[in-house]
Amino acid sequence: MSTFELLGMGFQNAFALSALLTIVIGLMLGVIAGALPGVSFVNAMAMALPFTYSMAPTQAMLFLGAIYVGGVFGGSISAIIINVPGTPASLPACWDGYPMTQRGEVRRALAVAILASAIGGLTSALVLSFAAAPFAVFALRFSQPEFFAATVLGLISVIAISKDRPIVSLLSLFLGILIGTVGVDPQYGVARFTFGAPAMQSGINFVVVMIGLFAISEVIDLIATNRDLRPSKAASARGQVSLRDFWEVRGAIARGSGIGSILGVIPGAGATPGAVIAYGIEKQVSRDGDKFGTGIMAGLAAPEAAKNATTGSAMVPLLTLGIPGSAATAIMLAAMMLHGVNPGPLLFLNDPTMVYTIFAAMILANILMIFAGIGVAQFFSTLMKTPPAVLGAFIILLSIVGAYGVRNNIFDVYVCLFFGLVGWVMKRTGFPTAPLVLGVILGPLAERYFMTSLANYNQDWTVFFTRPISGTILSLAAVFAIWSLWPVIRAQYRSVVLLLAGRAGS
Amino acid sequence: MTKFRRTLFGSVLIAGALAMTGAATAQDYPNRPIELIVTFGPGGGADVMGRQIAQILEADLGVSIPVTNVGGASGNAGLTRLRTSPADGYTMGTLISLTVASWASGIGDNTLDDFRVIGIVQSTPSFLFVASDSPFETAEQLLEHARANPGELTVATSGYGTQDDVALITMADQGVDMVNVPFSAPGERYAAPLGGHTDVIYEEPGDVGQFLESGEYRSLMIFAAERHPEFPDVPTAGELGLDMVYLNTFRTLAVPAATPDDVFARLEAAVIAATETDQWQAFCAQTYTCLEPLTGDAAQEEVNTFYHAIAAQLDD
Amino acid sequence: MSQGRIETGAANERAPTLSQLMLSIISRVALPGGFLAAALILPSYMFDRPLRIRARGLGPDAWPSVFLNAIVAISLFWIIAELWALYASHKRKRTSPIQQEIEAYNYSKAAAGICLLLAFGWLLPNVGFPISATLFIFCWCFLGGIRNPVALILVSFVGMITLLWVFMGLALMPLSRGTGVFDDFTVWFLRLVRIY
Repeated sequence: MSTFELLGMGFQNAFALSALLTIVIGLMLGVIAGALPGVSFVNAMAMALPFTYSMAPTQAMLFLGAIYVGGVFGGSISAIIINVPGTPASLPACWDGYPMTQRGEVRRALAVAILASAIGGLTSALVLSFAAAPFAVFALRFSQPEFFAATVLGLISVIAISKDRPIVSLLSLFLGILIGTVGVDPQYGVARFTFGAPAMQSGINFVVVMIGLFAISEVIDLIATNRDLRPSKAASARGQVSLRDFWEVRGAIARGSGIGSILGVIPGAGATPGAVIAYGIEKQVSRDGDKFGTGIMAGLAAPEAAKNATTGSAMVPLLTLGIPGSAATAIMLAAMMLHGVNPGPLLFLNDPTMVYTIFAAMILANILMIFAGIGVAQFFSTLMKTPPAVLGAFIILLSIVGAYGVRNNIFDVYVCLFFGLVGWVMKRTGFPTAPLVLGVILGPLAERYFMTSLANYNQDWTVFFTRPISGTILSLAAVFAIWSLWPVIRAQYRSVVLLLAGRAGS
Repeated sequence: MTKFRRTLFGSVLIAGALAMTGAATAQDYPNRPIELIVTFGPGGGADVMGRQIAQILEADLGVSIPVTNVGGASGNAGLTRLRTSPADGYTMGTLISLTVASWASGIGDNTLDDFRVIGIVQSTPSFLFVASDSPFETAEQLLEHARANPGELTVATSGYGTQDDVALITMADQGVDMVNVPFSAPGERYAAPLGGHTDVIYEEPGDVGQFLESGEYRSLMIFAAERHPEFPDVPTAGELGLDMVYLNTFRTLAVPAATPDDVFARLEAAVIAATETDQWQAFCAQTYTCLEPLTGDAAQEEVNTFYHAIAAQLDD
Repeated sequence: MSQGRIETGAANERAPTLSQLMLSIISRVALPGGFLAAALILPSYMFDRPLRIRARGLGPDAWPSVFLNAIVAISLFWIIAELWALYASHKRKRTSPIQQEIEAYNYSKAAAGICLLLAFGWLLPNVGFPISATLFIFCWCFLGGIRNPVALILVSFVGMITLLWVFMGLALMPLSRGTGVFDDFTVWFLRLVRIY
């Protein structure tokens, strides 16, 4: 049977009432869990796992898949409305989404985010359907040096994000990477930078850092400035959603979808680097690149599309190789295993109906997500009408519960409060916070890939450059860095020339 | 003034409540939810085991058993939480071999004396696997190649200082010198031999069941005193002339050390009953971890032996 | 936008005294200097106890060391850049490096908020979530200018119950119950609201 016939059969199954209902419930659960900073959708999936025991294997996968799709989007709702990324991948949504909210364009921001996410997810689901097999072969050739190179590309995008002050941004990034080394090292299992406190061995979790830096510091500002978040009349008029907006960001959505679909296939890369890299690239490509961070729609659309575009492609290695690239896909693997379904190349031969029903359901889920997203977003937007003090109190409680909920560890609450203060000081002094967070997220990944690469290739440093894929990615990273820094280099050069000329004149 | 009166009212309310709750005893244990701390994040082997047994135990104990994932510090963050919880039987935790091995490397502030092991519910020997397209058809070929070319073959493991590492070091001491390549992310480790990134993988069969059933992995040898009933054709390390200390990967349930005897006995009985259910038998068969459950003091002793075996290796 | 600042800078232009010069040097160099010092001190605090490992290739100190050294390099570069900029601005026009605050920022309120946060962080594990959350919402709303006692009590109490239900009831999250008598109280309260 051709892919189209198989997919048609899959759609028939996915449109069955029970399947449709499963998808809708899963989506709602996912969006809500994603939007609540406390409950990560990965936890929601883990909690849903026992409920899937009584389901048929396909239905179980639809349920978990729908939570996954909804959850990856849901994080952006809280990112846009209250500047708290509900999931790490929604971090870039804070950078341009929240400024839009501050201008009173919350509806517009949410509409763009939902549409971009849906299109990204849809693209990815189509990629999953048609290119699963060839992609899988390619992904398997990715070894640790390639993962390292991809992570370096993510780290380099920091420079693009804040190119006006590269020195300070780099310092912030390196601090973040250092913070990421606190705790038990992944290779030798020894504790680093714990200063004699056993609690520190748990390490500094990036979600906790993120919540502290963004949410807590924001709320302190809120109470100190008595700012009113309620949109004014004039702002509401600007906040209207128009179709022209969508047309404007079509390029950003397309680029984001492409980047996300490709990165999602790489095990371990996932939604967060996908979103960040898409943001960095969009900042370079866009006409308004230098205004990014002030509430530019393209800066919101690209990472939104990219992060949801990783959902479908992340299932490629899972279904074709049985390799879960993330915690979310690991739970799906566990669900399949508990049902006696073994993902791998044989699954496509033995049970194509199941595989293509999952594909069809992923396509369907991304379309239905628009409605689930609007519903939950509506509810969250009404929250904006409450007085700022009340809103602030609840944001802090949600943040603290969120920090606690990451690992159910009280130590994380203290870390969160600490980074809340750090974030507040950084904000007051104009020290960039985004590179620090990225360092905490990507640093530990980069270290792991780096160390394992060396162990695997005889401690040979050149392996990163001589392996074709890794070498290509690293050269791309270098080009990207120079491309982003070029305006600064030119400006610096000019100012130095001017200065020297001035001295000569005086 | 009104605010003061409200505060006063609140204090009275609290005092009254305290008087009412003071009298909970072990007789009606359990009468509220029992928290099961899984000491690793969602999606891993400990998590799947914890959620599985929690579901079975709920039916027996008659209360809900919510699973809490407390990851970090090789499982020690969760154990610290377990240790500092009231020893009233309302908090259980998973204690697994990886965490016990981490104590030997100086991680965590927990010792085995802080806990009472209810029972070892899963235990499995480890294997050396290769990908199906590997040139090594048998363990003899692999060992021969490793002896002839020391340091050439690479083995994907979970890290240095683990039982994986101990096994490889013991083999290297006997002339079979292979390079330990630590992959701390399980998914990447499983993929390493398939993508041709490492020659061999050291792993327990339960975690790579899908690759065994699909035929993508070939089992070469088992680190156990006897052959595994599910893998009758796979020779043991001893049969191949290697002298090894066999360290199984195990997962246990534990409570704080001060838990009263009657509460502990109730949990022990429930765990024994749980491992006899069809649901558990199906689960352990699938993960190749079925065993005669070892509970109470015998389980405690087994875990202790494991700890000293790892610590002895590190002290060399 | 920066026009105004440059003009005021130009208005005060006169030769700086030595102490003024020192002060501006210190203020510019303090932050990178702090990072430099930290990056130089931290390596000796990397491990709590002597390592008992067989190092193979790079040890566990390799990766952090790279970035500690990078921070040393960057902060040195930053210090040089600041001094260079100081020199340059001295040569040309003097502008204040610190931007004027545009919106009114109430630092005492921010400080009060921070103290509340720290108090909440300390209370949470000791008295449990229900009591500490209620107190926190009450105080924060009061700080934020809500003075209606009915609203304050209603918001804090209903809010706490809602959070409790969402997180402990539905998401089965084990929020802190406090220690000792507070643990007993929280268990009693959770039964009262039918979570346990």
